[in-house]
Amino acid sequence: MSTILGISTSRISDQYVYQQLGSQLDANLAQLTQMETELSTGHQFQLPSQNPVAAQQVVSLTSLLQQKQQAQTNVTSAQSLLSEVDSAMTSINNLMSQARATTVGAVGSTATSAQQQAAAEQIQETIQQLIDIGNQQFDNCYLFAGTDTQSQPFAAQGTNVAYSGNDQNLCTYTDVNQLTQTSVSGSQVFGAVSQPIGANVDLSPNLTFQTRLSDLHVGQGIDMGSIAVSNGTSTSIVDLSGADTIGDVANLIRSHPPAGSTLDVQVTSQGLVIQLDPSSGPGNLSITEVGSGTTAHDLGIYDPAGVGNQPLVGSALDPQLTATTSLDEILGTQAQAVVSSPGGNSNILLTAQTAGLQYDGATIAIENDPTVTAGQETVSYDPTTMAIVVHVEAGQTTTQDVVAALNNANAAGTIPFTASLDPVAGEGDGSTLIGVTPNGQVAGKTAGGGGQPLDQFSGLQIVNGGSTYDIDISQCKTVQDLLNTINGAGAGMLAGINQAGTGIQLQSLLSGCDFSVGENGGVTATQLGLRTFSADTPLSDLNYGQGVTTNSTTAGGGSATDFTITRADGVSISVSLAGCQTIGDVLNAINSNPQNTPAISGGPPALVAQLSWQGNGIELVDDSVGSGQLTINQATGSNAAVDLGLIPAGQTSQSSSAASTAASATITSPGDNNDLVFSSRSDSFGNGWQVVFKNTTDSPSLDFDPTTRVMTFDINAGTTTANDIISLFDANSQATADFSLSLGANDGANDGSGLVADNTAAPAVLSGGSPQTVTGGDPNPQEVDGLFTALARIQDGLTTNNTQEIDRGVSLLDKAVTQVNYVQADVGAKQQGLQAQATNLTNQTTQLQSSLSTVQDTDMTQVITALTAEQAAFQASLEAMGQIFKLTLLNYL
Amino acid sequence: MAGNSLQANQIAIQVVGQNIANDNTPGYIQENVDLQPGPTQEIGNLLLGSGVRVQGVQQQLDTFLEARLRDAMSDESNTSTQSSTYTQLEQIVNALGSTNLGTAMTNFFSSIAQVLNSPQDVSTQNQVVLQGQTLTNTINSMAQQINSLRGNVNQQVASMAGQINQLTGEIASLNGQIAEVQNGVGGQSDAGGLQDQRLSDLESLAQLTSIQVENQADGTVNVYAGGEYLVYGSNVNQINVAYQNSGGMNVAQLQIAGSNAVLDPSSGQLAGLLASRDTALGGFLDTLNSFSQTLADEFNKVYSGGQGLTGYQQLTSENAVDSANLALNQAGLSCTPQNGDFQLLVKNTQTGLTQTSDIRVDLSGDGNDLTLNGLAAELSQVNGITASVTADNRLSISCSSPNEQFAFSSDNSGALAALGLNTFFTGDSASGLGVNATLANDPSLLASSSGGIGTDTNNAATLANFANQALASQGGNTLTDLYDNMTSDLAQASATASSSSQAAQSFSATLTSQKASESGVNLDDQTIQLMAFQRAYQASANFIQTIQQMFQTLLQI
Repeated sequence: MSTILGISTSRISDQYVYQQLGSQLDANLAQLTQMETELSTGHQFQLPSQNPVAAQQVVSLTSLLQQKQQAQTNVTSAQSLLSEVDSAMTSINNLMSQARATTVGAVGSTATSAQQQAAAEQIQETIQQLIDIGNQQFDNCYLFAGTDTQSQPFAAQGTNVAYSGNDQNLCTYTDVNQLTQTSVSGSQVFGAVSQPIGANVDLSPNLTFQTRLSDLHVGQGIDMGSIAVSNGTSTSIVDLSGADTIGDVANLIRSHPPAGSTLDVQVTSQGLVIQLDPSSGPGNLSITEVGSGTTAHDLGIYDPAGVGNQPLVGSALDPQLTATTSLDEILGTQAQAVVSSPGGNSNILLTAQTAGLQYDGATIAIENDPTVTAGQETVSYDPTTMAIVVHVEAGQTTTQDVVAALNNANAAGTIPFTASLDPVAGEGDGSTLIGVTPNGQVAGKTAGGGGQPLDQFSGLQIVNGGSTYDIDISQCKTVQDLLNTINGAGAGMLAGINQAGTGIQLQSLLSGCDFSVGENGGVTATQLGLRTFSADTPLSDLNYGQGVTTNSTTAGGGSATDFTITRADGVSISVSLAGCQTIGDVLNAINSNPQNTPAISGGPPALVAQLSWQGNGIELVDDSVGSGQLTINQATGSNAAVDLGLIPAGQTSQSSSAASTAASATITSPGDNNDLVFSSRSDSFGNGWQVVFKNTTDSPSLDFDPTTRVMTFDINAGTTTANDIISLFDANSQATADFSLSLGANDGANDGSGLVADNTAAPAVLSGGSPQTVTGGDPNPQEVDGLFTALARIQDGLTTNNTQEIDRGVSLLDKAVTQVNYVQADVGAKQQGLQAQATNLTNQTTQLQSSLSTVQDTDMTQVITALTAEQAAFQASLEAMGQIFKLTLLNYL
Repeated sequence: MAGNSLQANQIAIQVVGQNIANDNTPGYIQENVDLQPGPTQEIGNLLLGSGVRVQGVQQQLDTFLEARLRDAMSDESNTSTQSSTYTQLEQIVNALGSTNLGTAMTNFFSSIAQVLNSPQDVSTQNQVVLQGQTLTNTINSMAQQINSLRGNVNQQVASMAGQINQLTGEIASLNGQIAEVQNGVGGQSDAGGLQDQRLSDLESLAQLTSIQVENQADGTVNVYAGGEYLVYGSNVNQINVAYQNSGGMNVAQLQIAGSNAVLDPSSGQLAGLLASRDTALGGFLDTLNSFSQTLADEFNKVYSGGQGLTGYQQLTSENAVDSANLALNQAGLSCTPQNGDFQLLVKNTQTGLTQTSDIRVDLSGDGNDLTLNGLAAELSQVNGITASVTADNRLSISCSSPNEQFAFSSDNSGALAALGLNTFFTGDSASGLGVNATLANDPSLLASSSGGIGTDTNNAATLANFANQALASQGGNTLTDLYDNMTSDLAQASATASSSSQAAQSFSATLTSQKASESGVNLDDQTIQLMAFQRAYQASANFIQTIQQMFQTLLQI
């Protein structure tokens, strides 16, 4: 703080001397005080301004140090958590070794039933102990519940174990900016959650006007910047950075056309469609990037060459499936047409009420009808040509009126289309008058339909833990409704959107039992890709991956029979599964087997193998007519029919439980000897056929119409006998191929001589045809692949003395041990990592503290040395002062 | 001749005596006798001198140095005032202390990091609320202390008027006396004591405010400040205080009476006070306010998209809009929402199932921009949710079923933060910053999850590291950067003020020494003069004796 004052060279006054000495002493004192403060506080500076650069270092070093200290706390807390996990896992390992030893000791030739029962009880005890370990708490948190740390994760449900935690891990900051996983979830350790069903399914959600840009490209989103839209002569730069939905993009593009043009923009179920409006004259529409942006590419509308006056059809934008995606917007796309009239705010979107290709090509025309007054528009529809005509009052009817008329027609069932105003801004507030379509033209033609709508009427059938749950999704509107319905059904299933964001997946949370997802009379499960047993299921997956045991080949290299199916008509079908990879192949091997002849010539094979409509399994439907029983017999050496679930385990054959009946109708006319019995040659084929006796002619004839399913006998009520009818019938090869006709029994002499009567008032209808069926079991049960399942299987095997089950249980247990070891190794690695991090942090903290000290702390030696020097200077100043004041002329006078 | 010589030397000795007497008087200017030979007399054809005469007594003063000294004093008091303010401000900010804003911030974010360690422990969540309150209290108290310091400075500005008026009054009155003395009987002599007094007053005035001094021929001085005169002869222009409300404070301004021109000096204590009040304190307060607003807005934006361990049954937005019929981005919200969307989650506590609804915040400017009424209508369409606009233009949302709770998710529009729905911080200024009372009453609402009510800790993970996240609205700076900038800017400004103050002090001290050296009394010097005049007096007396002897000789003849 000492300041150096200039020494006057001209003249020294007494005041000058006092001042000089005074300020010098002040400076010395200030210096001493500063040093004293430095020594007493231990800091070089007390205020940042004394050394701004160093102070700034102190501020940031302190903040960093504090963050590192918090990281140390985090690491310590994570370490104690993990060491708890580690010791729990050691206990798990011990229990598993014991369980394995117990099991192995209780199987084999010397094991008695009592030993096995005891072992089974011991396994039950082990399961309980493992549940207790799974529910272990540390610091008030459940160790193995994922991030759901406040609820008990494992609960015994009968012989099964239900997991209610999640599969997420706790994380903590082990360093600045470094988030580390610090726990393992119960699903990892115990294998408490099954592999997901439907993880790779793509339900191809549709693009809608409201689709968020962040959901596009399966959730990768779009880097929104600007695009350049040109009509060939001028270019407009459209800034899309503020857009949130694809609808915003459409609105922005439409409202920023190149000078001199109008743009028509449409959001289809796939992407964007942009076109120069024909009214704005010729041009070449092209879209390019601005600068190094990628927005046009991302939106799929990059087209530097241009499309002229044609629509620029953007590529598919693949939105991801979200919780709020409507179930109407998946799987299929609805055919759509834009009906536009001249001027703005007059666009109508005509949309098919359900998805499907069949609604493509419908046309709509607006016609002026003098009998119609505005507000009373009518709609006519020709289903054959799919032409919709709206009758309007030209010059009065607005676009809104037309939309209302179309929707009324849809509500009344007249047209399979609904109408809405175009959501693109400026296109559809509906206030503008509708334009009348010129004669011979159409105002719009639907296109873009495809796929199928989701079967919401049938729902799913989930079997889990021995209980069957029918999942009714008819009231669901969104994906989340569907997920909630499944999750809320109490079926022990966890439904969610798959990782890819393309479909939904199911996981079972119930260990120790089988589960499956099947149909409930429809195609819902198949459509959602959730069916656990489908035509695509590989045979090798069946029976917990044990596959299907077949007679591979005969000695001669031909295919060996695996099982034989005998139909009701006695026809035997030898089925070989050689070359079959999937269930679809097996069905095909039965259905297209040459021995599987049709019951009706030219018709389908009499025996149809198909997937069950209810639940899972193969269903054999035998439509052949005969007194025999539909029977499946296993061939020697093959276990295929059992493995496919067609024959119950432990048996070699299976027959249908009920005999078949063919569809038939008996026509009784007044009098005797005239009863006629019409029977279908295939059990169910004749159901619903009509037989009509029409009294209109003298020369009787038969008209056989398979389209309307009616046999019409033209008769003369006065002369035609039952025998005449039989003759007419026998003469018609078509009729005899499909039906048989005989005289009724117990009708007089049964000689067919009686006259037949007109029955046009109440034609006979064939009914009661029911084929024989054999419905197989589900050969592809799924299970949660984990520790509890393994133990439950072993326990079950021990109780029922099922060696195969015990063996499978033991191999599951071995897999579970591997998994536990793997996770324990992972825990070990994590602990090691944390230990290293703890050391790191200690080093860093020390380093930081030392840096902080270097910057901030007083260098004692230096300050004390300086203090001594300063004291000497102070003393010298004082002495000098004394000397100077002694000197005055007066002393010498 | 001998007579006037005696008289002259007597006067000279008197002046020396005066100088010796005032050797230690502060502000005393050494006086010198201006001796001149007496007029020449023509005697016969000879020209003879008539001895010595005293022309006047003059001060040994360098008026040029005096002007420079006054400027230097102005600078000194200007810079030292500022430096002292900065020092006080630094003490308030206490950047090097153990309890300061930086520590409070680190502790706050550490407490969020702690949530990750025990995710569903309500006491940990409560800790976040408490640390949040400590943080807001720290900022509130900083703002309050700075405001109070600013108030003090403002009062000092107001009190300056009285001090200036007193000094200008004295100077004017001294002007009158000096003019009377010097032009009347004094002749060519300086009115020593009065001049000294006036010089000292001028120096005092210069310390208060920078002035220009013009010496007039009649011995008076005119004093100007920025083109307006404060003293003109014996006339004074009074300084008045005017108040004007700015930023919640009655800001004092000094005005020159008559012209009402604002006294805005470039230097002097007044300049220092004004700079302290407006630049140092006011500027820092602005920075602190904008820091607070950034903290609240940006943190809330991330926070509001999260969910707590429990959801809301009823919630009213913290911030009101100007009108429920205005688009949300034009409704006067301090944080402006943008085009985007968020999700409303409705959880059934009995089944544990959640229903998600997309809520579109359409601010795309397509003519259908969302208003608060529109938002209420959109929310009401969600099953089980009733939303309405209150009389004071806030949004009120409630669940109809006691078994349902609602929460928010994935907000990219900033509408939730702007409206104050599910926010952590309330208020948008340093003094108004607080922690949301709804949350403080029920810490289990702390939005640490991002995957649904009570699901995970992903939002907490983001929030714990929030201070290190680059903020687009702040040019990519992080919150830590902003704090660092705030403290380092202050340290730099303070260091600059302190070193200018030292430089000015040093310069002023040099000039003061120079003045002391120039105008101060040196006893040795005066002793020599005393002896010289004494010898001259003795010689003159001897001369008279010689003359007398000559007369006696003549008379004895």
